[in-house]
Order: sequence, then structure tokens, then C-alpha cells
Amino acid sequence: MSAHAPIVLDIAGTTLNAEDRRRLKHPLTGGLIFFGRNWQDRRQLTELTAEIKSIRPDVLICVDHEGGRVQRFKTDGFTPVPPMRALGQRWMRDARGAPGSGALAALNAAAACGYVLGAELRACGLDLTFAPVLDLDHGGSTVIGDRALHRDPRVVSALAQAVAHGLRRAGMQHCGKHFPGHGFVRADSHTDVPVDGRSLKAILADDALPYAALSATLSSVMPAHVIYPKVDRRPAGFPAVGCATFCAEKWALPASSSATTSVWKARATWKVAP
Amino acid sequence: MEGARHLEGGTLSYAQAAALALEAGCDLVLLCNQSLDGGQAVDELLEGLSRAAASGRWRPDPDSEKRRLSMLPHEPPLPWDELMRLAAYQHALELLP
Repeated sequence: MSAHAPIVLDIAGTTLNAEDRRRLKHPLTGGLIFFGRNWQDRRQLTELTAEIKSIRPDVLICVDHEGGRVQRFKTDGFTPVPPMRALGQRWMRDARGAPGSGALAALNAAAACGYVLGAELRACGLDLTFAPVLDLDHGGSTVIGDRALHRDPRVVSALAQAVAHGLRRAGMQHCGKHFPGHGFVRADSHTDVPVDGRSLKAILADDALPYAALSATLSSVMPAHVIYPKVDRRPAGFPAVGCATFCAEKWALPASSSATTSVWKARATWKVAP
Repeated sequence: MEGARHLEGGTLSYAQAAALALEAGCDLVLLCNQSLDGGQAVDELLEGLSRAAASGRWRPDPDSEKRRLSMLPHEPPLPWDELMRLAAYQHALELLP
């Protein structure tokens, strides 16, 4: 085992080949991320994760399961969990004469979503899902869209906390994304580097608020690959400034109120590639 | 991926980009979908970062590794068939929106 195994890589198929095994044994390999191409059925998935752990018990097996359209395994018993926007909509629906009843029902449903997502993944040997999405539903983002819980960062914070709680209850690790907020831009960062031209103050007060609100909850955070030119010329996900920035200078507020401090403590995960 | 490595007119290698992210305080770096064409980029990253560690251009961080290890599960997973019979799981299914 290395003193530090920071690289999360992936594999091409539904089983391990010789190259995969070699890379898995590399002391810098610390995680594996699964995609739809690595899925055939539950049995295959469970055998694959078991083989990975037999080679490297300490490797983190990760996947993007958020519910809605971002769910890599959807058949053979996996429950299709609704898009997160459904929880935000539930929040807004109070029973007649019962203000707040919608919020309560939505919180419980959010915990249930996290638990179902997490328990099914965990039963197949996965350790971490890159969820919940903390981006705001600004409308107009084809990338985020109904993956966002709500437009209001306070509602997003409360519901995301419940989702994280459900995941934890299932023994599943979570990751808040995409810091400081991917919901405002329209382009897809997988093909283009989107630009968010708002001021730092505006972003921290709105999109980045859930990171501060959940500083005692989040176990990891993934930065957005977005450029915020009013803050920095380089993308937030970009290390030279990006992460350093959000733990040190430009993203930082006084320590007591800093969203960036909480992100720093929450352990940033930088996505090298989409 | 291409966007992620372009920085102010220059292009970084995978290992350079990863080393910068780690130096900046990230605990993990993800390299996605690069195993598809034989995985040359994956090997480049693994070997490049090894060289960076050997030459001191990147210093591994034991605290970062502790945080990574703390993300590992504390208990073995509940087998699928047992999960299906679990009352808490069945209740959660009923609560989905």
C-alpha cells in the first residue's frame, strides 16, 4: 500500500483483464469508477466488485448513482429512483391546511431515495456514489436540469442532507457536487468548459450555500469543471488555482463563514476527466 | 478531459494536472473513460505520478490517504436477497416519490 493512493481509474469491460489487474495493483491506484459499460447484471457486478476487493481490499469502488437519468445500473432488480427534482416538487406540495407538510414528506422521501440507492449498490459491493447533486435548478441547464433538487439553496441543503443520511444508513459513502455550483451554466463541461460570469458574492450567497450549510454532513465534494471569470480565469476544478483557490484565496471568506473552508474540510475530489 | 488539461494556452500531461490538483489539496483525482483504447492515458498517469513522487515534484500526503481510507465501508455488505426481505428497505421503497 502506498503512502497515498489518489488515482481513481476505470475499466473497459464487465470483467477484469490482465491490464486492469496490473493497474489495480499499482500503489497509486486508490479507486475505481464504474460506468454503464461495466454492467451486465447483478451477479456479474457483484462478482466483479468481489474480485476487485480480493486484489485490492482498500480500493474505493465508486459510481455515479443520483437517481433519475444518472443511474448506471437500472435493471435486474435495481430500483429506478426518480429524478431529484421530484423531491423538490414534493417539498412544495402541502396538504390543505397543513403548512410544512410537503417539506416533511419530501425530507422522508429524500432519505428513502438515499437509502434505496445506497443499499442496492452496497449489496453489489460498491462503496461510494457521487451524489447528491447540490447544484441549483436555475432552469436552462441541459446538463443539470432535473438532477437538481430545487432552485432554492435552502431547500437543496435540507433535501440533500436527507439523501446523504439515507446513503449513510445504507453504509454508502456520498459526495456533494459540483462545487461551487454547476446549475447556472448551460454548456456541458464534458465537451466544453462552461463559463459562469456571476460575481463571487452572488455565487457564494446562492449556489455555494449548500456547501456551507452541509459542512458537518458532507464526506466528500467534487468541484465543477466550470470557469468563473469574475473569480478566476481558470476552472474551479482546475488545481493550480481551482482547489487551491477555494481553500485559500479567492473563494475564501473569513474562516467562520467560509463555504470554502467547509469544502476544504469536506475533502475535495477533483475530476480530471468527465 | 481535453478541457481539463488546457490551462491558459498550454496543455498539461495527465500526471502534471493530477499533481497540481493534489498539491492544491485534493485527495483524489479521477481519470474517466481513458481505459477504452487500451488505457495508454491511464498508464501515463500512473507512471507519470510515480515519477513525480520519486523526483519530489509531488509529495504524497498521508493525511489525504487517511481520509481516503476513512471512506471505506465498516461492515461487509448485506447480501441482495437479505436486503429484499428487510423491512426498512421495503418501507423505503414505499416512500419513493
